[in-house]
Amino acid sequence: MKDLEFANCPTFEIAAYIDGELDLARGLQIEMHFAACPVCSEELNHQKQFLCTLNSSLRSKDEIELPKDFTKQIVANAESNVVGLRNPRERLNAAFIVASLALFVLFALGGEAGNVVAGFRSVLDQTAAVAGFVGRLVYSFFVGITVVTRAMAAPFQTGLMISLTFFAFASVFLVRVFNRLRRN
Amino acid sequence: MTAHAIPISGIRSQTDGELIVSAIAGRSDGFEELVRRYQRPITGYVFRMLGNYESSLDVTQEVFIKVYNSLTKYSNEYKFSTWLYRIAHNAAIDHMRRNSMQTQSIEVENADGTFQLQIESRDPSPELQHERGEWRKEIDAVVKCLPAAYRDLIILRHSKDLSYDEIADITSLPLGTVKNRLFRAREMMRELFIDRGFTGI
Repeated sequence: MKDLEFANCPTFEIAAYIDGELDLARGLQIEMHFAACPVCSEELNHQKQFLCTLNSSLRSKDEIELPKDFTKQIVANAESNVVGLRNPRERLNAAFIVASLALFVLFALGGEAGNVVAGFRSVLDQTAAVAGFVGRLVYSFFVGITVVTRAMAAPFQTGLMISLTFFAFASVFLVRVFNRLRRN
Repeated sequence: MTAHAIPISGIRSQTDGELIVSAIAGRSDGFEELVRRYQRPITGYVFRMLGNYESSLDVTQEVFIKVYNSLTKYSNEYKFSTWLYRIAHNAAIDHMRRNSMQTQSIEVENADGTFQLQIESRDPSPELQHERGEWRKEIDAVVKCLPAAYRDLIILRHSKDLSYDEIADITSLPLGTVKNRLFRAREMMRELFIDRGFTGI
């Protein structure tokens, strides 16, 4: 009977009420309930006392002992690990310095510079050839897949329906794969 | 370096926002003052979360390094302290995950949204009359027994005096969950006190 009577007691909100975290209307409703309900009123007193003890015990505990020069140590570590605060102009300056040094090296090499440039060009040519080959391979692979898929789909006369179903399944699968990758 | 040195008293009277601006402009005394202001509360918070002094110093360093590297990303949509606690909260949880400390208590709730005690509270104390200092020790011990997800909220609310909104921002939890978990955490603490032989709580 008692349980039924107090089934609507806002027990869960008493702590939020003491913390001043309920909106005005809800706060007033709860106050009216406290006036009428001896169980909640007692609970309110208990919780107030408990929260007071918690606050007074936990709040004065920032007196943690820190090593000497901890601040300086943090600042030095932060400054030596800096990545985010780099001025974008610094990167431009670095690129400029690297380019100048490369030019200077070529200049210092004098007559030999032609060979260095030629060597560099042959590396570039070979890289381009390899990239071209890989590109052609990927292209041929996809052409092959398309041909095989078409050949397999040919016996089915309801071509459009099959294509649409395939497209729907492929889309759902891809969205799932992307979501999983993003979560990871 | 074109900036002129500001006397220490000048730096101390600057707001967090002004210090951030001067740190971004490359003035290390601006960042140093921010560290000086927040190193104790942050180390205190991390220490309470991890329960290990050396680790809490390491994590605090890590927090300020992250802060220094992301100062340009700070938006004044949040208070600086809220942003800082958010970084500290994430760093502490990362540390706990890396060291397999009670990670399940952060991630896995029971079906009814509660968490279970990770460490059993010790036997009831034979002394029922406690001095004020004893109370602090008891409260510290009980806070340590709480699951990390509850301990976090209890520290942020009662040790750092943050509002529910700020706690929700720091922990990325919905406001209702913060309210609910704080309620459950306090209930759990009261039960632990009763288990330890304290009445009238």
